[in-house]
Amino acid sequence: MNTKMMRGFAAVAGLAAAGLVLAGCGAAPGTTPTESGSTAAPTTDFLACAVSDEGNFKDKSFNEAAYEGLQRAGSELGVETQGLESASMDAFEPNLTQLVDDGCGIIFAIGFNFSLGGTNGLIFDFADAHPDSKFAWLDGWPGGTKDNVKPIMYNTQESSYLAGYLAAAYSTTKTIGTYGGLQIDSVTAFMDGYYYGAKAYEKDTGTPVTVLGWNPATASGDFVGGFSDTTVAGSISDNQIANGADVVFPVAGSLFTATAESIRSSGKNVVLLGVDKDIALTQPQLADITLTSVEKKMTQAVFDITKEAIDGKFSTDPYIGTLANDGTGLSPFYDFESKVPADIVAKLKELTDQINSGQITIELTKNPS
Amino acid sequence: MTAPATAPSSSLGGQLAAPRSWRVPIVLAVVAVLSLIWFVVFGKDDPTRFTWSDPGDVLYLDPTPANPRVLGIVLGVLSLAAAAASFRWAWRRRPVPVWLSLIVGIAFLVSLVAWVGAGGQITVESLLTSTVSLSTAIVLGALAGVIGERVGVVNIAIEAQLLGGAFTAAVVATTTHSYELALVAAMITGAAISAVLAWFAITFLVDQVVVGVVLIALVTAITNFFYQQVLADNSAQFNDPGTLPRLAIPGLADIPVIGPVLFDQRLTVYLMFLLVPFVWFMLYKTRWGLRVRALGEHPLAADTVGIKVNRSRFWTVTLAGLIAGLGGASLTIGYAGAFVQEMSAGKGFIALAAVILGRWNPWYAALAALLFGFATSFRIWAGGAGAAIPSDLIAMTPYLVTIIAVALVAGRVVAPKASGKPYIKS
Repeated sequence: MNTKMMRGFAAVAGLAAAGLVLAGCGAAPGTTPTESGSTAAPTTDFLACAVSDEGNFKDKSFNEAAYEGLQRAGSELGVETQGLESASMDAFEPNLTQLVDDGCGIIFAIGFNFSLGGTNGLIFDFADAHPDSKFAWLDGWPGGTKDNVKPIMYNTQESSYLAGYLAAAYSTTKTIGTYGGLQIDSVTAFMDGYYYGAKAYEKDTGTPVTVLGWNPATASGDFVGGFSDTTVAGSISDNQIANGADVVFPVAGSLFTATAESIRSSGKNVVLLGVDKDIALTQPQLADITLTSVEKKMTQAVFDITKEAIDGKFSTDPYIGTLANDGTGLSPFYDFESKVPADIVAKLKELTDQINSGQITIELTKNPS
Repeated sequence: MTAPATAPSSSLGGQLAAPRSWRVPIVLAVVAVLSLIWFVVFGKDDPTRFTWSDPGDVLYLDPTPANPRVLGIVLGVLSLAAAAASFRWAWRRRPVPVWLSLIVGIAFLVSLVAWVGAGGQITVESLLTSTVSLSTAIVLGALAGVIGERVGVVNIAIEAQLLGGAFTAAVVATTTHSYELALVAAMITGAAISAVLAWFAITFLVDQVVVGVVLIALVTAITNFFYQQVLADNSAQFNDPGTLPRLAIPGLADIPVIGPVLFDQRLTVYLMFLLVPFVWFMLYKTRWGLRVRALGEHPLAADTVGIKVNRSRFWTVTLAGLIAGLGGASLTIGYAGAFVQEMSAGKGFIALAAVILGRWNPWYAALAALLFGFATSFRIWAGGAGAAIPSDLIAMTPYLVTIIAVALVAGRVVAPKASGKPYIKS
């Protein structure tokens, strides 16, 4: 019996090892530096690196968008790239340490979560401890500077404002919905913009517009409580559709697929708005129900900042993606081109100008932390 | 509903009767009194409109306005009556029937919903349909867990079975365009994971909890791997399953509220409705069920009468895996369509809790799972209702109900004696 038990433990160990190996493969970009043997660009010995937020570089959302920027730098600028995925927040520090040890010329820390932990937030503490390395940090910058950290922020409220206005104009029920993954600033910025955009339409036309799922006045609304629970995301969408919403804006990573299914099974004429990436392009099967997407164009920012670092022009001035510098914006309407009246398109242009000139400012909700 | 399994034999020995158990009546009375006080003292007078049907429905019922405070008083008094009745049962040394606890529980929940929704409207139909959608996988997972523990194998890996089933269902449905094949594939996946668990636990005598946890890690890693390497970039070819068609039962589906909740669902939900009584019948009313329960309570006794303990355990657990796999399919092709990484999101663990809260009985486990589903549905609805009460507080209340429910059954919870213990023939 003893040998039997031994065999048993060996077998369990085998199972566990298989799991670890697969998990490792899943993080393939991490374990092996992606050699970019590009022919076009001259090869430099610069190493550009990134650490993902909780999740991975194939999340159809912000990690993926940022990683694509790194890869583009790899193929067009001929630099070596390396990306490490973080299964959990515990992996942030070991991943950063490994990249510093590997001699990365610039390290992108992707995500709001790098602001947590430590005395001043994990990334600031880490940058203090490694003054010779250069960092760029996406989302979550609380203000303040460090000599070797370039914050990257997005005024997604600006593009979401346009989305809210468009949604209110497009809606026939004049009821629109939104929900978030978690109640954190980088999520609620979208929801704030969306809300105020819809209210701007209400003010312009005198038609009352109901926004379901987010109320900046009380800082309360619909949140899934994470970015993976499709049944909760679906139920929230079902509820909003049942309450008359005919445009739904899910600010919850890849959970928009659950909203898409809610729309299809409701049989009603409802559309969704994509988040972070251009969903009509990345998910062609959803193009017929995607009015537009609110894009956070991290790919370009990561590419540009990598280029600056290679050219020795790294600065710690924050990069703020806005409508004005095309860091954020609405995707083309594609199938819905004909369904958005010309005066609304013109109005969106006018609003863009007003936002760029500072005539319209969008207040952001402070979330309880 | 069944008579509780642990009914004391009250007919024996007139004088030396067992001591009276007052726990349930006391808990019921406390809940009734507290909810009366709360919903009256802090009551609201803005009427809540209960809406029963969509304007487009065949049978349209007008919304019912109700004053939350008055409703609270009526339901509170009803709860008090139920609590008083339960004292009679306790006095006679009879176990308090479950329906009395249900009356108090449901009365509390209805008062709570009315109170939170004061001044607004409650779409009863969507509150209940979400409850069913959110519970389906949990109920099916819990059924698999009940069978497993009844036969003596603790199945921690329900989470893995849900995730694996969800994944295969989505991929098979997309590639073959056949929902039937997808359901079968998901069930086989669930059974295969069960079989691995049972094999390690029974043949190699590995600690069942350890194997379960390892299996969850393994299945999570496998599905994440394939999702990232294959599904993410080719969703149209591999991860666009859509969902099973809704099968409306003619006539019945048009009944307000009940129709959409019970009779206008997808195959996965109907199977859940059927499997609860089926599993109960199999476990408690058949020779097979008697053997299964014997294996979980006293395998040595079963062995002496000629039942092959380990072989029966293996096949029973594997068959139960079919149900958990179906639960996985209910997540993708039964509801949300595309597969999303780690989409089981802890439902397997909640199913495990439902097994225990449900006292290893299919009916009660399903009720417990529905309670969890209702808790989530309530949280979603309350968030949308824009109640002026802090959302964290609202989110907490259903769990309070759960704690009360646990308190009601605690003490009476008796796990199958040999659950989790390997049987070693000496």
